[in-house]
Amino acid sequence: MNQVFISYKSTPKERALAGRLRSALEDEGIKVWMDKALEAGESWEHALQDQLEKTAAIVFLVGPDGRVSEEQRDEATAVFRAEWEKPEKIPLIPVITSETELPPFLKQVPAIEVTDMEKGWSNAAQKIKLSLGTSPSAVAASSSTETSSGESEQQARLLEIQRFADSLKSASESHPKEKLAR
Amino acid sequence: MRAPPFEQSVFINCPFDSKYEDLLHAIVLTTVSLGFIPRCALESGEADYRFPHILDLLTKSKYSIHDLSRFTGEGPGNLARMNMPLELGVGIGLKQAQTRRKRRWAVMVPEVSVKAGADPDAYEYQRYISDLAGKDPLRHEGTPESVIREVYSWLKTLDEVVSPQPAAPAIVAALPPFQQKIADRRKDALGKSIWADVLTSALDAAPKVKG
Repeated sequence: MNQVFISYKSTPKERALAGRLRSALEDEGIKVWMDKALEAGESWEHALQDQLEKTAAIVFLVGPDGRVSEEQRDEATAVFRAEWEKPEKIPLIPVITSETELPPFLKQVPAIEVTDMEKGWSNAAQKIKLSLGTSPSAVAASSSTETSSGESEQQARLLEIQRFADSLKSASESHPKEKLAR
Repeated sequence: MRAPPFEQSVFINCPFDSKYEDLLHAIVLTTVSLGFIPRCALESGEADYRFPHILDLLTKSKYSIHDLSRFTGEGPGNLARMNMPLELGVGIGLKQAQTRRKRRWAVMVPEVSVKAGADPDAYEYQRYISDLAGKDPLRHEGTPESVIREVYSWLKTLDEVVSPQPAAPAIVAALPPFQQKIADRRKDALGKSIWADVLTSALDAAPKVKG
């Protein structure tokens, strides 16, 4: 399986950047799928699900504004859904064109930065090709089932939720509401 | 009452009937496990479905999940429940109107294929809420596990999700103990379902991860 899917923001500028990355990847012998491969009338959702079966990695292109679009997040949701019952995860590889703070789901692997808009795409494609040979479990280990031994971000959040639950309980005991039908 | 942070608040808009209860619990457990605060009309006492209260909760939540499971008519008058589509509309309107505070919403629907018709891949939701064409909803199969799959896959893409996250199978496995804890607390409260108890039960049952 030597195909990658390029996820990018649907603006003319970012589409042009995705096109350059596509060319560079194809020069490396990597098959690329992106939305412009859709046939007229074809459902995006079904096409994406079909393609994820054949995809070795998803490349998330984050353009100069440093933002991941809602459509890209929807695509990530589709990836997580698709890998629900699979033992191996699909690596998500961020490619950035400026320094940016990526969302947690794009921090599985170090971002590939393209600073030279002329020659940088070729280097990025080579790095992506190299990462395709890496074990998916090694690059996509952002989830854990281990029990807690130290303070984690989750524990701090759970404490925050507990405080909220306590305050709700106090409020509901002092001001009971009438039950209504929804 | 302590105000939870806007960025971590997820408004849950779903049926509150007994048939849906397991699915609501699946949403709550997943939301809490990933570090978000589930907010819904049930939180202020036994139930408070006044619209101003719901608007207040929606306004104070960066994220919202809207389940449109009850899209068909029910009862002697064959009436559909319109509250959930109404609240979805408010959620979409808030997102469109307020550019200063970024928001995100998700629609969740039961995955029911349209058996007859030209397109074998068509789903019922494409008929009853066709205005959302191009915005893929979260689709569950009416089971708690499928709801966890959908909510987990969506929450994982948000900026404020905790990192690392508990693995999805651990959340699925935590659901029965979570529901047992709710049942125990309900018994202690003489049959009364208290939202704070649901949250506390979720906190107890949520799989914990290392830092």
